[in-house]
Amino acid sequence: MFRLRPCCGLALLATAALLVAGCSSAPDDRPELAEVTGVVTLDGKPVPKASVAFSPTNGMRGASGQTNEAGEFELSYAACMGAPLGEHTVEISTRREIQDEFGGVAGMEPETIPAQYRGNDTTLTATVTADGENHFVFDLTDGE
Amino acid sequence: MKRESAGKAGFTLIELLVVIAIIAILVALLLPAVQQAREAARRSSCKNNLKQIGLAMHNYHDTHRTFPPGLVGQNLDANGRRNANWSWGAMIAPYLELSTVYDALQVGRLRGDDSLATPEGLAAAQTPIPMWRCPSDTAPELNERKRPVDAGGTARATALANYVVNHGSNWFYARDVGSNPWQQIQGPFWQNSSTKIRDFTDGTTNTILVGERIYDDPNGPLGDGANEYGRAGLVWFTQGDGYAQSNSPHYTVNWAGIADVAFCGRQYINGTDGWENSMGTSSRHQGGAQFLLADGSVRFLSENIQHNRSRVSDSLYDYLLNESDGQVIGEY
Repeated sequence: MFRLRPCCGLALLATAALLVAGCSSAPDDRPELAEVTGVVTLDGKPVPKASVAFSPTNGMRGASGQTNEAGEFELSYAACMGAPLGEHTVEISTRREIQDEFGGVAGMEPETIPAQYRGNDTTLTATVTADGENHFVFDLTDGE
Repeated sequence: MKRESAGKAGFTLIELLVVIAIIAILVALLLPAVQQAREAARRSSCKNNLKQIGLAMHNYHDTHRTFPPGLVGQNLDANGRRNANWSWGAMIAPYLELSTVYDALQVGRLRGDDSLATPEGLAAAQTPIPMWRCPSDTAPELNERKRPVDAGGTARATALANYVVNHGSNWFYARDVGSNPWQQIQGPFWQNSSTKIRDFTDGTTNTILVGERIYDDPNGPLGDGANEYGRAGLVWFTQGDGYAQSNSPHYTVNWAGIADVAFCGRQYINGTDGWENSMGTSSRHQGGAQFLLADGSVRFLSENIQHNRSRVSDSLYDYLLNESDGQVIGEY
């Protein structure tokens, strides 16, 4: 019996590899991606449930993610994890919908991020590299 | 028991297993192909729906000398901000052979919320319309996540639409407020719009009329679930006026009834931008979504299309959304 195992294992592996869908079967015009993680803090405190958007300065599609309770985020690009390589402008915002029991809109969460870090007026930038660590810490300050 | 040598007759267990493994690999190759054939058929069906909407739009234009309004604003007071307003879908219904539903709803005779309050109107609005659905989307027949309120104050789930009109590359800014240059560059549909073909100075081949949007999260487990619903759209009504007022439950400059029947270019195709997904376009077709252009043709656009989310019209997706930005579109 022992000699059968590599054989069965190979068949299973081949089957599994062929059935993997999603990211790996994305169209071939997808740019090269690298995994990106980071942390968002405002005046030293982690910012939960903020959306973080990286937009490439070359005008192509960007990547985005949401922070968890510790202010940590991971970026995703369509059905893939990561962000395109190159320089990005970074927008951070806590404004989002409050949902009703059906998943409709019940209202909006307020914005807590200062204006210089969000929208088209953001001053934040980041460079994603193929072999770098790609861990970005955004220590924001409310400079009023 | 006497053992025969391997070369004479029969198979060894190993040989048998190798053959089985090869067959398994061949079947595994075939199964995804079958699934892709099914999805290709659904994509064709979806394309046909968009084509029908395109024909209806052009027939509407031939009759009324203008494309239909994105929605018909009723200027309701603060208590009626989520009440049903008529959408462009109701306007083109007679051109999609939906005259019986159009008559039952009394489009043009009653206000949207009054129509929804009649038993006949409610029954008609809750009749699922297959041609308004992309067969690839897994949504229910009625849209539970967008429920317009009738004149009696009851929120009603009505027929779900996967097709939404193009509001332009910016946020849902109202056309009649604000004088910033970027608010003048817009798509063909907004509240009470009456865009004519002559307004498409970029050419009808270079401007999107209609896109698609799904009900759930376009990127499933990668997103944060409930916050990333696309919420699809509605066939007959919107929830309230086109643009939010300060005392609306929807208050924000970017959000109101217009999002129930239109999309804007603030979001990437199949976006991962949390709640903003419900303003953009998305589909279950692999790698992009289908769009109806103003000349009546249907194109599949990759989700990797050049798309800069700045205010100005400066990327290919922006050029396709804005009808008169004067930008040259090359091969795409």
